[in-house]
Amino acid sequence: MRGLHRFRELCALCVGAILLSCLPKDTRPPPSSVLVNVTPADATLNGISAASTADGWDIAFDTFLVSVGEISLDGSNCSSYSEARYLRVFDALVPGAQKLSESFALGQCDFGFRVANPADDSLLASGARPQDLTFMRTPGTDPYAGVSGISIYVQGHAQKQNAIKIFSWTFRQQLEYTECATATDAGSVRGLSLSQSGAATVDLEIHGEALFEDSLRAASSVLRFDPFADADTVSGNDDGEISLDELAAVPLTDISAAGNYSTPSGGPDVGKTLRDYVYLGAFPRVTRFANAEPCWKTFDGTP
Amino acid sequence: MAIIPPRVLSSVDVPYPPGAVGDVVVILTLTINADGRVRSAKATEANSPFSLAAERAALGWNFEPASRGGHAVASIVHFEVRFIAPRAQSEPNTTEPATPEPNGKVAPPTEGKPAAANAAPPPPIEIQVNGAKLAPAVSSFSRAEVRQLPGAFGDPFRAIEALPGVTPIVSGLPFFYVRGAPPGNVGYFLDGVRVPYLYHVGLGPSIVHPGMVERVDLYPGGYPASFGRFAGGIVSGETTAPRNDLHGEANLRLIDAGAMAEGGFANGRGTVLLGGRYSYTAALVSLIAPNVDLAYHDYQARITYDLTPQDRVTAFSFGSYDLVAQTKNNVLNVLFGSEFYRLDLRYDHEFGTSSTMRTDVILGWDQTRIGDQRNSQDKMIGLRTELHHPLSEQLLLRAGADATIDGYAADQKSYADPEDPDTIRFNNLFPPRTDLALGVFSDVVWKPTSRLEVTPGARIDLYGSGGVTALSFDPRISARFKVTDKFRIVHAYGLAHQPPSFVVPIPGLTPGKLQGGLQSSWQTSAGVEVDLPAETTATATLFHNAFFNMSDALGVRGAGINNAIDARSTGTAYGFELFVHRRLTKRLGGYLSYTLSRSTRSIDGYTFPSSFDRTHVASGAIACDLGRRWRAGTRLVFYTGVPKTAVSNDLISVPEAHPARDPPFYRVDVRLEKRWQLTRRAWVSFVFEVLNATLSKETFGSSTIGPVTIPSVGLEAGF
Repeated sequence: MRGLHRFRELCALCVGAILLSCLPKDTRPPPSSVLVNVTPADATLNGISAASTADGWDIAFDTFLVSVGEISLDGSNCSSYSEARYLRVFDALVPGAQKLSESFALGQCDFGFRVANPADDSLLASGARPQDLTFMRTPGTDPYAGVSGISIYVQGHAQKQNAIKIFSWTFRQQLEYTECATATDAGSVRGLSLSQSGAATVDLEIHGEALFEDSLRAASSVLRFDPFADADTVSGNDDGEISLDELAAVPLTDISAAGNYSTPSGGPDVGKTLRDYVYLGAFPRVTRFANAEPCWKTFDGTP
Repeated sequence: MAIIPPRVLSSVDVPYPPGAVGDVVVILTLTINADGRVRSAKATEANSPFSLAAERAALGWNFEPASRGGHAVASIVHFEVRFIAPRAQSEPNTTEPATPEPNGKVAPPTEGKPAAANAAPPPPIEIQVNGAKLAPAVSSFSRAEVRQLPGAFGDPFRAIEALPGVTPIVSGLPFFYVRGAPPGNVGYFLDGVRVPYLYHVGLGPSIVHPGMVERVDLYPGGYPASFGRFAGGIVSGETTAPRNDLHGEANLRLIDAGAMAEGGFANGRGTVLLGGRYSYTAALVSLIAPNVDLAYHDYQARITYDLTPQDRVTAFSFGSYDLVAQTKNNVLNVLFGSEFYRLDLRYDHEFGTSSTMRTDVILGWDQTRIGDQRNSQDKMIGLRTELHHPLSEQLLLRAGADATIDGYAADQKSYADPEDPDTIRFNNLFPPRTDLALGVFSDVVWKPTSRLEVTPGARIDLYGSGGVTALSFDPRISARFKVTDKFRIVHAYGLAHQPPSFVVPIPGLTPGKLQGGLQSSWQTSAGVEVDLPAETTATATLFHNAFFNMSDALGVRGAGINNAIDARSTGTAYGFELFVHRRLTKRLGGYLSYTLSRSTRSIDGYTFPSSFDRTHVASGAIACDLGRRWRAGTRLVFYTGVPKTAVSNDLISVPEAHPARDPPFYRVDVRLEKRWQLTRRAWVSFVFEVLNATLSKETFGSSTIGPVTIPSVGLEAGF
């Protein structure tokens, strides 16, 4: 019986050993929430009046789909708790701010996001439909991207007197925006300062007019549509629809004057044709962080 | 009831026969009486004058008899006598420590056992104790062999990748495809107790001290009816039989230290075993990356007590803990944390001449720290009973039943976007719920003739999860036909079902509510076993597995299937396996393992190679005794590259039937050991080992990994 008693004692030790170890508790202090909204700019919603363009064209957008998200909060002084790594498809013709996502972090955090091809589980903002998601996930190619979906789709028309031009452009390349900065009275401040239990809100804006700006410097840019119209009328097939391929037939040297349609000092290379300029220079400027630049913009595959 | 093997008490010196030439090994079959005397000695092969000399000498040897339940019993043992021809300069005696051998064989200490003539190294002793015979179509490595396997770090479970039919995911990572079945469909068992995994985090060692693992069996398909609820292979570890003589092992490496010791109490009626491993990688890692914590440890405790010679109670508790964490800005963030614990309360009863019944109550607790610092948990209770009852000399009935209740719980995210699809998907996949599994199983080992063994069987399982139920019926049959004494034909067929599984086995993370229904596989294999000269064996096997409704996220992801975790696929795997093996514990031992296979998955009418389909997987090792207690070994591993990933941007896509492949991979592992015999039973070894000594890099798609090279320098000791 003594042996059996010893057996019981040792069994109790076995059970006790189970209770010795445990994963550490969650000791993190409460973070700040970061609510990210997406808001269409006025020119995107209501179009661009003839008075606002240098050449008298009225421009309006009929469809404007943007797939944006995959928020990142990082940096050496940032503790990221929860990043919303998903994309949401927005109909940029729906007015007002709509929620993109909510993340949580603490400290001084770099803010980043992506304009990218939606996944099949990407969410839909108000106005965006399931068929829009299917459309943007349908594989295709363009000269700047391999087989891929669509990150931004723009369809619209422009009118000048009796001339009407339509355009329907797909931007398949994916863009990563990092190290975003906010313009303040003290100058450009990079990232977000997030305190315990705080609540920060970030606005991303959709600026359709960026596609028709003749300079990548916001302060000096002028809205023009003649180069686009001429791409169809003069060098294209004059069918009334301006395609990206027709823009490729327009050398920037033919339309640049006084420094417009050119690569800015220290800026991105805008290529040699109007299609290059729109795709490489203007398309990344459509989505903006808090109406302030710059975010560092990188195309997928760009070193 | 476990049997303690006999131990040599007398000198086993056998003089080298006068006039003979050459080095010869003679295997004796000894019948040892309950009083320790040798009743008979017979060489398995006549080879005069060596066999005759060995037989005569053996009749004079004395043993401490084998015992069962503390009582001496007669036994039949195999004993190897190695005759070494006289040489000009002889080496000092070398001895082997007490090490387990495969197939129910246990090698006790051989110290004090002089060799054959001329002071040649003493022969290893190999004792065969009556035990469970391995099922047909099972591959196995013993601890003693694994100790000599370069790149396995003495870890029996790490040797699995050397066996045919096993396809590695990435070099060094202990997760495998087995005959086309993904890691999530491979079941891990230790002494019949289900465990979520067998290895510590990343490239870590196994969660059980190697010193208490007698054998690791891999059942690649058509396994016995007692194994269920997994549709891939079964990896089954078996611990050593309890011993009441005080013995132990310890090892000390750069990254961890481990030890186990076992002894008796209550005049031999009880035994206690304690073991464990502790990693101090955290201290080392902190020198390189001060903010990173990396820790793992495990423990094992086993107590047995013989209530009567026919009744034994056992409490076996073991557990494992892993943690990878980072401290940043004074905030501790657990990147991955995992732990599980098991308590197996076991009652063994013998009745009749050789009938046994085992009943277990198993308690378990699993926990994993997952994303956003929340925990997923599983509290388990299981009941299992199994009967082995000979109906006649030709018929052995094996039957049993088991029931398991798993209570799963997952913390909600403390800080999360409630609309996040990942969060929603996770919550749907792993809902808090109670799972129930009930099973009954039976098979019969039928030997209608001395040359034929057939094992038909079946199991029925009832699954319940969160109010959803399913029923499965798994018939199995295997057969071994001895054409000649050295040539056997082996067949194994079986149907296996499994509830939905996760990508890889992780404690506490099991998909709930039987979403997508049961997975199943139909497993078939046919092969031959051949005994070749020089104690070399060879097996050649053809296999074909058909998979239905598989949740193989890894296997379909590479083809660009979206939401692979939720995707269900059918699949096929077929191929040829070759395994040539001379035990690594021999003076010169080695193996060659080769698998030629094709594994495909089909979804929505498209058929494409599994993401980890490797056409050729080959490995071979050589281990040899260099003399003066030095042993060295090397292993070459080679496998074909995996199919290239189809797309990377998560689009609607058409999988390619014949995609290009990544480059093949090879690596060379090396091992060197020097052993010192300190006393009659105590020994210490210095071991240097490197996995991937060639610093080879592996390619996946556009990424190059590595070189993943694991060096190990350490000391091992035993008594």
